[in-house]
Amino acid sequence: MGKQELSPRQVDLFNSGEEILYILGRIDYADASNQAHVTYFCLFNNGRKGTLDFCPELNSMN
Amino acid sequence: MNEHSRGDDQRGRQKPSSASPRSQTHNQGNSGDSGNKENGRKEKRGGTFRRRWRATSLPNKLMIVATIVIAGATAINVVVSVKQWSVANESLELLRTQQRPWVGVVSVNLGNVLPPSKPSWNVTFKNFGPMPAPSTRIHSGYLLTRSFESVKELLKTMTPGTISTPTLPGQEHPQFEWVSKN
Repeated sequence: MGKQELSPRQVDLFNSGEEILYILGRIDYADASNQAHVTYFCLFNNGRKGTLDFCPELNSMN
Repeated sequence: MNEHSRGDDQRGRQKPSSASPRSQTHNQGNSGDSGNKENGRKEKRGGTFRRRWRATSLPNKLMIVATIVIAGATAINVVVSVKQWSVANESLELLRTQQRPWVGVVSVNLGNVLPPSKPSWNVTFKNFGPMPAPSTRIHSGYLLTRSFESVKELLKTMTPGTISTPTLPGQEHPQFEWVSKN
């Protein structure tokens, strides 16, 4: 998934905005009739802001 | 032999009588042109139907009319039933969509990502639907990349989480914290 901690090179790329940090995941759940559903989520941070934004491109996946 | 000869005679006699209408038609044809011939045939067909219809008894006529009416009503009924079935199916699908849990992410908070800390974050999720989700499993990870394509690939191959939690409708659930692992 990811490395234990970012290398100095990765930190530089992240801070300069060349590489983006993505937090992604999936939520698997079932309803009362035991039908399975999945929600994918994806947020990103480009190193310039402290907050995460939702990935707009994820809509094309769901 | 005599009987045979009589039978032949009878057949011989019958032939002209059965052939007579044909010969009459033929004669009519001979008397006029080809257009008249066709008109004559049409009139004959129409006339036959009218004659048969007139010859049909009233109860039979009523039965024929009733059968046609019933066939039409059945056809209309089939069309209406198919439309009703389609609408009922759509309503059922809508009901299923409304009456199910919808679990999604409310917020994701990023911890310190810079060394010596390991990148960490927590996820708050919520059941936005009206029904509870008896088992909810969440799995998350991070990726440092330039292209979103690799994010898509990772999402596709990501396995479901292992810890199962029930989620109640309208309730925000405890934050799940992740620390990046090898």
